[in-house]
Amino acid sequence: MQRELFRALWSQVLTFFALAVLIVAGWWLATESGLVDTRTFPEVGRIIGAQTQLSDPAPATFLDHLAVTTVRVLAGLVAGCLLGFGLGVLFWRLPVVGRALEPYLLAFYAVPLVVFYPFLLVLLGINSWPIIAISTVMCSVPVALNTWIGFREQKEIHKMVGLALQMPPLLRFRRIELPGALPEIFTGARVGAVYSLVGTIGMEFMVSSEGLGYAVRYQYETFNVPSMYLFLAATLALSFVVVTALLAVSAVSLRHHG
Amino acid sequence: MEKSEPREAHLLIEGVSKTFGLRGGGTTHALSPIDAAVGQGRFVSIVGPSGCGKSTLLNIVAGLVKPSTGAVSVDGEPVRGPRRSIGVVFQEDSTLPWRTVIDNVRLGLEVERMRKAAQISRAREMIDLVGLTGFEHAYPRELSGGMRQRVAIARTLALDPSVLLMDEPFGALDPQTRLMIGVELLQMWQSTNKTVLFVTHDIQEALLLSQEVWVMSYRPATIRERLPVPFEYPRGPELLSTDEYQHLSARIWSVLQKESQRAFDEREHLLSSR
Repeated sequence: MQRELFRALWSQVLTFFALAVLIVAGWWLATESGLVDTRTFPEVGRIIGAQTQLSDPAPATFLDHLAVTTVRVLAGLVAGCLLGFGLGVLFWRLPVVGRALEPYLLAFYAVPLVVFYPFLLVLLGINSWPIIAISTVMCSVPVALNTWIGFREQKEIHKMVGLALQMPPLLRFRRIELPGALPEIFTGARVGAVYSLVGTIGMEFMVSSEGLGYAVRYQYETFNVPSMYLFLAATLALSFVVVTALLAVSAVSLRHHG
Repeated sequence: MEKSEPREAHLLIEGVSKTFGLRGGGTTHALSPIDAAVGQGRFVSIVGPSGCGKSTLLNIVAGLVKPSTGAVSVDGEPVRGPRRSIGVVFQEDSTLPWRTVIDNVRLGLEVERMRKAAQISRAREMIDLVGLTGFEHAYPRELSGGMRQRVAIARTLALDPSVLLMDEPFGALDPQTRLMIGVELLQMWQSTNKTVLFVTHDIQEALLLSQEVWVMSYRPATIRERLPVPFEYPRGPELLSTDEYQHLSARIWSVLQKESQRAFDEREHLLSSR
């Protein structure tokens, strides 16, 4: 388990940087040689320098937008993991509830949750909370389903050990059941992180007035193409950092799981 | 060294039977009513054809499965569920891969609300007893199958049960390791005076380890023969060529062969009737 995770981690990091170098090099060659139209694909130097040329309506800077999105994504991820974990444990302990709600949870994958935005706007106001709420719900679904699977498909022999040693339910949960379910829970959290990013940036793109998603849309609508690419690159980098950090946490947490 | 015959039963199995309900309806009679007694400090092996219900009987004695009829008692106390005086070692690797050897061994001690220092001290004693000193902080994936099984034995012994139930504990090990770990098990048994009920498929293992062998029939299982094993300990390889050993082995084998044939015929009949 831990070997595969560490291998996946390294391969993810190496692939990301290798691809980034290749894309930047290809981009540079294409723009410098005149192969592409620099109004659509601006030169690398102009994209990097765009940060200092932002003409935002709000006094927000590049780092402000990045910070807003990072906080929203992390808040959605943490809340989504907690909510999903709680739901997963509930479904495991009360399988009737799990079986009844499973079709609805699976349907959440298919429904664009932005349709709930007006309702959340009324409920939570015009601020970051509706976006964090959407991000939380989107993240919680895979975490809940995977947590449920993790607990449901424990090794029978480990259950027998807990019983034979007469472990009280809470101790059994902490020492056997939770560690046994962790690989599945982390898998759910990694998928949840992707959903949290998609939810946050998608919502920012459509309804927010700050954050990376908003900034990409704003720069694109104002034909500020180099800045748009800069924010797109920042969005990709943030996604990479969040997903890779979670993979690193999984690899460290599951390093002894055989 | 030969242990003396017990005066009274330490472990008593009275009229224990088990019937399982099948998913598609109907029932399977796994065990016919079984009566048996094991004296304090005795080592009894159970052999029988595959699927005859040896593990079911052991799980009932452990309190992990409820019998359909009858009862099990230890020192006159009825067994109604898992209890501290009965330790179980399973066939499958039951170590927790995320815990070190010492943490695996002290798992049961955590239930006892013992202070951590006392848990560690007791766990070290047991690790020493099973010959794993130096591997306290190793993880199960760093150990061989035989070493992992010794961790499971140490974990069970740490709770100092008076009855030790072993369900084919060496079934997944290679023959050399089985032989070595069998010798170590005997040393542990002789130094701790536990009552051992040992399930195995291996007639030689049963005869080298135990003082008595129960040969079980196919389903609904019952104890077809109870054979005392009269050999002195330690039992070395020279025992295998003696007439007495050959005679006892042949007797167990003849019962097993008949029962295994019955099991085979029944399975064939079931398959052909589908």
